[in-house]
Amino acid sequence: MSKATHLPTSLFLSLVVLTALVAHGRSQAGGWFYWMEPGTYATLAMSAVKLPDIPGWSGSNLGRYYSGLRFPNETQIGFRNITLTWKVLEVYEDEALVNYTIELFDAYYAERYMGTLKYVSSIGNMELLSLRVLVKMDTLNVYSENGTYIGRWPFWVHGHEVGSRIVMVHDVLTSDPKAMYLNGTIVITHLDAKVGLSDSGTVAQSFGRDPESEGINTTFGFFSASRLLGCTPVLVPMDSAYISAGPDFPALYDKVSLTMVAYSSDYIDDVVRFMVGDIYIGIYLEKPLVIVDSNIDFSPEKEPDEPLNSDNAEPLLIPSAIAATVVVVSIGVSVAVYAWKKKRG
Amino acid sequence: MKTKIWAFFAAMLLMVLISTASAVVMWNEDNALGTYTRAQAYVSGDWYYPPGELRDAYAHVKGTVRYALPDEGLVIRFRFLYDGYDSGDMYFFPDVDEPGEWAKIYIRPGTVTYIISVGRVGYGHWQGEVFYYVWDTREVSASIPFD
Repeated sequence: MSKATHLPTSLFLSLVVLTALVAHGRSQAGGWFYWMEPGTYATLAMSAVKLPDIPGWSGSNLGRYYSGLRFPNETQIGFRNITLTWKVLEVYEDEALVNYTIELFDAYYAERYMGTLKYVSSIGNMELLSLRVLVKMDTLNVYSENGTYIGRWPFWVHGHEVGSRIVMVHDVLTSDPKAMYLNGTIVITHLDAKVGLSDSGTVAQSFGRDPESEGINTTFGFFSASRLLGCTPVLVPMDSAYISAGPDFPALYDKVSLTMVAYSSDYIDDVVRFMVGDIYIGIYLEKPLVIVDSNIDFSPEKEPDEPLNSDNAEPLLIPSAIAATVVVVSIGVSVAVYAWKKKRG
Repeated sequence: MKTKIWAFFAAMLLMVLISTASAVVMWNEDNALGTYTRAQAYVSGDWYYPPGELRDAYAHVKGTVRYALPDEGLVIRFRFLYDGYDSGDMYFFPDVDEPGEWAKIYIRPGTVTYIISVGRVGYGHWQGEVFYYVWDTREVSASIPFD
């Protein structure tokens, strides 16, 4: 091997080592999005049973006997089950390329009939959407591959958002709660779905409940309230009362992996809005969504220490950069020593 | 001529009687008791058949404090559906916390072919910017025509 090829080889090796170190640092249990690597996925589907109440979370099936979605042009699609799957394709420094798919099973065209759906004709299984999106890991803003801003990524949260209000979905086609309160009328409009993110364990304790015994059962075991973060409604003042600021987004997130593990009521997010367009209220769900498949390791119990954002990305990168520098210098010195020895014969 | 006028008025009267006879005042309600509260879903209106429509339709979800709440106040989740409309799940946090006090949220959509009212009652409070609540009753629902 000539000396000329040593430098590119060294740089390539150092790049490989740097990438491995960054990936390793990110995948540490207790680290932020420790599971973040290409191939990681999760699928949510409708639960076969009604999930129990957890303080601050509806957990109800709303007494509805059908699932479907309704477009403003009155096209109605019913279905028997639904899966929402996200899969990480690539991980970059501060963003991830993710494939997001929604599939409807035994879908059918329907007509609205007395508050329910009447079968018209079969569609079969259908892909409602399949899209590759870029998710910024510091803000959870989501973009299309060509850079178009879509909105908020709904399947992950940041621990530092606990206790704050978040716009989880923008411009949902819904009804105005103020019009109902003031005039007893339903006025269709667009409103943001805002949530307050709360620690379900703390909420349960504040009501004298045991956060370890309450929770939801999934194929990945029991998620107790003490391990969950829940979305609670955001209210706005009306006279001496308070009323919903907009539509509800009743999701539950695992406090360790920070991924969505359950969702109650009608489902809508910014990617659905972007791809499918306006649908009224959201995708009607007969039963709550719950995580059914994933290769995320849910066994760690250590919660993430610090969020990964531009302010504190250095703690992760500096040791990696130092290590990479050491590798590069070592290789350089080895090359120099080798060349010096060879020169001396 | 006089006979024809009387026959016309008699026919008119008969039509009015027939249409009146087919109008029925209808209501439906569902009530649930919790430990501290009570929830009620209620719908009503004048049912005309034919053509099968509910006139002067009305629906409400009502929450009542039965016993002193262990928290700041009552919370009511409500949802109304009629013909093409659906309010979605909404929350109401009235300034109500004393036994006997109540609050309700309602709609008056006029003439509809069906109307459904769904609700649930609990209690809660704010901590920081997050609203903490817990349900006290089961879900209640009422509809016309009946389920």
